[in-house]
Amino acid sequence: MIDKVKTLRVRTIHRLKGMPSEKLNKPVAYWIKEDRLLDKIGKEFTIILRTKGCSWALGDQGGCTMCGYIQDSCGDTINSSNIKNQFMHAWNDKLEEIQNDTDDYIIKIFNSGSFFDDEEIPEDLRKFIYEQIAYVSNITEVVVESRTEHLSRDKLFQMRSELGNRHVEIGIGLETVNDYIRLNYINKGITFEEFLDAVNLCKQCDIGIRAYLLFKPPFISEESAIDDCVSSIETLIDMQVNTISVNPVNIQRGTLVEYLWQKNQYHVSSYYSLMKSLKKGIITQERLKNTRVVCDPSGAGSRRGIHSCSKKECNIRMKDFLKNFVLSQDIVFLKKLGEEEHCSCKLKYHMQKMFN
Amino acid sequence: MLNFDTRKEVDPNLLFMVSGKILPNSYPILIYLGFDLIDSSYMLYLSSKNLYDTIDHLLPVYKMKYFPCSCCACKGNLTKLASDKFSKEKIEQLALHNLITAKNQMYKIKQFLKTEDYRNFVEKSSMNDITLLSMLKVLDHQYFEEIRFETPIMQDVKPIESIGPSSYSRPDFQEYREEIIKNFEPEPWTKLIILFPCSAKKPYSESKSHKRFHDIMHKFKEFPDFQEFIITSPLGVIPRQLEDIYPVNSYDISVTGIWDSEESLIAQEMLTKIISMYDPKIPIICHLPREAYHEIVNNAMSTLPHEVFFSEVDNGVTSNDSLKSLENLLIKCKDIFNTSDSNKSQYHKSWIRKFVKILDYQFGKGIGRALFSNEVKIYPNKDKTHINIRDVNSKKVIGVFIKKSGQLEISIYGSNLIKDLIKNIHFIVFDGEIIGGNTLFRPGVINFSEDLKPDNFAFVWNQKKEEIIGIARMLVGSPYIKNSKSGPIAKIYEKMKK
Repeated sequence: MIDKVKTLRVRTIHRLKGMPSEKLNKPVAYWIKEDRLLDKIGKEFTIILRTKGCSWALGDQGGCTMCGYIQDSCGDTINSSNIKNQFMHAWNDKLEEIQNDTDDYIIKIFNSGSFFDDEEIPEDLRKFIYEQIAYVSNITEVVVESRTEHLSRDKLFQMRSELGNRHVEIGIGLETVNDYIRLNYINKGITFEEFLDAVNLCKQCDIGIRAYLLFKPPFISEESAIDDCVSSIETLIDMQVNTISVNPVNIQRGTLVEYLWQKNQYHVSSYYSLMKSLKKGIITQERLKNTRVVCDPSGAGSRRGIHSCSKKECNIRMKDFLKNFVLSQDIVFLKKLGEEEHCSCKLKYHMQKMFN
Repeated sequence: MLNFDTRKEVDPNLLFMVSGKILPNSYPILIYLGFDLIDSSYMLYLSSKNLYDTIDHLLPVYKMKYFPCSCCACKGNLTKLASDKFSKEKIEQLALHNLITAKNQMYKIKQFLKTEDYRNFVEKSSMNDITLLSMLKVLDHQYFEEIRFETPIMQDVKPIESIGPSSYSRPDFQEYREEIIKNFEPEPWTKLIILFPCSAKKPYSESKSHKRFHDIMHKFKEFPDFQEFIITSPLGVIPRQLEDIYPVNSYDISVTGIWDSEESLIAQEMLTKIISMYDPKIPIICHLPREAYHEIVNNAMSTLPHEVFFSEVDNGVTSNDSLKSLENLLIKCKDIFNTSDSNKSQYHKSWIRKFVKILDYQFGKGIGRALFSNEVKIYPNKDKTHINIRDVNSKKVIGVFIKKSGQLEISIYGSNLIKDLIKNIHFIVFDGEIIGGNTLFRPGVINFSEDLKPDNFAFVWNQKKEEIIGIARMLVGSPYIKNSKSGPIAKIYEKMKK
């Protein structure tokens, strides 16, 4: 399997070589939209930076089976000042809007890799970013992502001290609490133990954890995906992780998942399964006291992303339910869905979930 | 196939369930492999994908024009809804039809298991799917040692139809071939070997053609010295003495005179093995149709020193000219070889000649002659379905030959006569001195031999293994007894009275 992942990856990396230079100074994307903050509804400001690429995807193991974010990177041609330019491009564009807004903001800086990887984002650049954020008072939360091996006490302390009393979260792709699935089906290369070590380290530095869960990795059926996700949510809530972000697999280019999907050996998950996992994993409102569960599926409703059926209105309805739940953190929205009259695709879903 | 490796270790009374993407056309082989429960949820998946199952084929329902089923769904709305794209009812109806199809298939299996030649049904239903055919092939060739202990060595259903290459290696046929090679022993007084073709009517000697062959042979007073073999597909070579046993008495095959290479090879290899047991000076007469048969004999004999004479076959083997040619050959060859061993006492009587070989086949070399060392007499019943064999001196029954099954049921009296010879074959040691009921259960068995197969006869010994206290017909094989802790093992048909 790893051989296949690597062949696919090498092809993608090869394609990246000829990236035009104007792209190097602009981020992959940035946007502002409504989002759930710790205890209220606020807004998110997301910047996705273009860097060298994820160390795991570029490494010997070929990276994760579902991740195609390496497409957004640009190999060795990029340098520190390019990334700085990218950040400033987005920052300057939206700063005024943020400062004039009455809502609080959560800033998410993603780089499709590890924020704390010095190869991707050098230390001085990280410091520069912290300083910029510290300057804006209505940004109350900060989220960055990293693989566990790039975390260190010094880096975290530095971040903590620069950002004042803002709530800081490190996003870690745990994907599932099940080591077998994570190592063999996802090829993530991180064990649950390593994740626990990272959690402890973050706690010592007064930094929160945002655990990413992957919904429906390849090689397991819809029904097993539900079981896996439920057990992951339960474990993480018990651990009192600050945020759980459930991410259903979407078919990204140049990945093993795409290859399987084209051969009809992987089926995109259904909204029904996702809702069921959330419902079964959380169970009572009580359990959401110390943990927030968020879910913003990419590519939702499309052929390559999570969907329920080919009808547009059905997908929109499901999306709304999910959005309402995430913003309000009220499980009533999850329960409501089961009670409402449903589309004919639900019958099909039930018949197929064992085999899809 | 994994099932077999697992089954070697676990209690056979456990339920085995199979789950996954299973279509009803593979149910028969799964049951044959020993699964007890089959998950049919895949039928729901297929229904949601708009597929209509006819067992032979899976068809998209919108292509269906004629619904080859009269279930409530097909008679109801399904025909009208078939072309609807987003109809919930259609999927429900389709699922209903598909589940009914699966259930019907299962009913068929349950029925056929009891009353038909189940193996034949497995072969026929595998024809729809080449992967099933490969499964069957692998099973026959690589797992014969396992499956032979699960397959009854006889069955009442007749005829056993051989429908093609998948039947050549069915376990009961392979069992026959292996046992013949292992247990058949040439009669020491044999002067001449004659090869005949098979006949449609079983046993062969009741067919018209073989009766005519016998008429010719019986003209010679030495005819008990002639060893006849019948060459046939797919069993190979059958000694005349064993024409009444299973599966020789019940197989059937489409006869065209055209042999495929696998059938030829089976017959050829077996013929070589059997003829090589005989003295090289014994001549061989072939009274066989031309082409295929002659080729088989020539190939088989190419490595053997025996002299082969072919009769002039014109217009079929039963024409007057052909029979005349056979007779001439007999006159010519009957004195080529003279055996020193002419002490055949009672063994030249054709029934006893048969019984000796049948006993050898059932229990091993030498058992037949040992049992008939005293003078015996045979008493057929009125319809000749049973033949009692009595010791002339003691007037006691040694055994009964049952024509329908082709087996010779040895009696307790008979088995005690040859007690020392059968100490290590087909035995079960009973935990006690007197057997109570008619069925032997696992807890009553304290030791058993490794060679027991379903429907074999087993000698039930007393606790100290000093004498035989009953004779039983096995319901299961040795591996089953080894792994189980409960359940019926054998049916007792004769036991010592208190």
